[in-house]
Amino acid sequence: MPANRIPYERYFEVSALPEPGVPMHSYAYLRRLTSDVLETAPVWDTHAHVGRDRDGRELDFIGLLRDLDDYLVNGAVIFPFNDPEQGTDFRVPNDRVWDAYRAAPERFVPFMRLNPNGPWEDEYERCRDRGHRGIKLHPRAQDFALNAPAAMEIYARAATDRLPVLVHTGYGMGAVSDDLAGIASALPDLRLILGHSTFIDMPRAVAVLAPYPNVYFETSVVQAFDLFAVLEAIDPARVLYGSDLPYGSSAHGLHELAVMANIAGVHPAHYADLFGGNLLRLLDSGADR
Amino acid sequence: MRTLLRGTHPLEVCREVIARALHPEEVDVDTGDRIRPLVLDDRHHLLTWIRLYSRCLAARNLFLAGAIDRCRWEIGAALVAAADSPCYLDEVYLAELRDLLRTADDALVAGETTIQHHGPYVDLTMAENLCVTRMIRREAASSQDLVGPR
Repeated sequence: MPANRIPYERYFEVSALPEPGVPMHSYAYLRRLTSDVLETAPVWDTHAHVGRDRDGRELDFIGLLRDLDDYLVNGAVIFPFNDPEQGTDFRVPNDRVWDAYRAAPERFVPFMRLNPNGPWEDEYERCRDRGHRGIKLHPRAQDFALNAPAAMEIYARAATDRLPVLVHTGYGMGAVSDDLAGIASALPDLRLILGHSTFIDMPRAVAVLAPYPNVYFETSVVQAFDLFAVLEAIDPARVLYGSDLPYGSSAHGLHELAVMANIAGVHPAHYADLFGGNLLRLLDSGADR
Repeated sequence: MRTLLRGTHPLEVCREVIARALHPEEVDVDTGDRIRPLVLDDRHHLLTWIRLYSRCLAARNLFLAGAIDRCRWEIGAALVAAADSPCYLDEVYLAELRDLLRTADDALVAGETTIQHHGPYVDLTMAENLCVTRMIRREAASSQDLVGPR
């Protein structure tokens, strides 16, 4: 095909148009959109909540599994909401997540949520020792700076224990790239997952953070142009599919990532990594702790 | 010279356009109750989706500012703009957009109106994204620039 020709796809998106009778919110449609990767490779969601939030939203593991099953998503990393019963240490919501994991251990990877402003050490050890496989931090909800001393201590412990840390870098955050680069540089063994891909600080974030191989970009609820920047500039091995359930959905998350990966020119050979392979490798690399 | 095709389903119509090597901008679709162009020319396509994008963007920003009445007004305006597809193909995407906008509006009516409420923000961001992904289309200089199925 001559390089300067414009394919019909730009008018029709034939590969993205649903078959007759197939709704856009369906597995059949998303399978088509993702070059069949949903059919041929494990799909894992890096960002899902279980429990309930102060804002009134809630999701139990049954509801989560229903959404995952609708799109044949194999499983999800789960962690607490900003739970009204978080107390000072998130013990109750962490137990909710653990209970969900126990109910479907082959489908969920439990992360603990911590509050650096509270007595986090005991909760960290309790969760780590029973098998939580990572940490979720939310600087806006728990009101701490990304590089606050207690947060830095958590990152250091996580690096030592080989637990990945997913930190919220979306809604309500400011410019975070320099702080994140400082953390990634100070702790090269830390695996830092950026929830929502630092969209408030784009496009600077991709330039600042691209050199750090221990920084991963999670794709839920990212504006299309920012997701394009991530997919264009960041090694596809460092991009992780996420849904932000129940605020987002598997349908929208998968749809968004598939369309923007296509527009950004990510080779379909990388789709299996984007949609789950990268996350599984990242988790496996800490499994022998 | 425009070609009139019978509309059954967008994918089937598009496949017929490819099979007959027609230029997409020179095809009309008869759905039985009306005749519309299959796709818009590039300027109208862009302007249609910029209008919708700007409505969604305004709604999201007004939500962030806590101006819920004005946010709902923008959502209403976006629903008006998305109500009647100017071309046959976009109806598929406009239906999806309307769903997102209505979900956001329902959440606002249910009281999800503060910075602590993430739901309307997500729905409006997804609506924005749908508009952006529709906007990205390259312009064909002539039918010679078109390439058939890959």
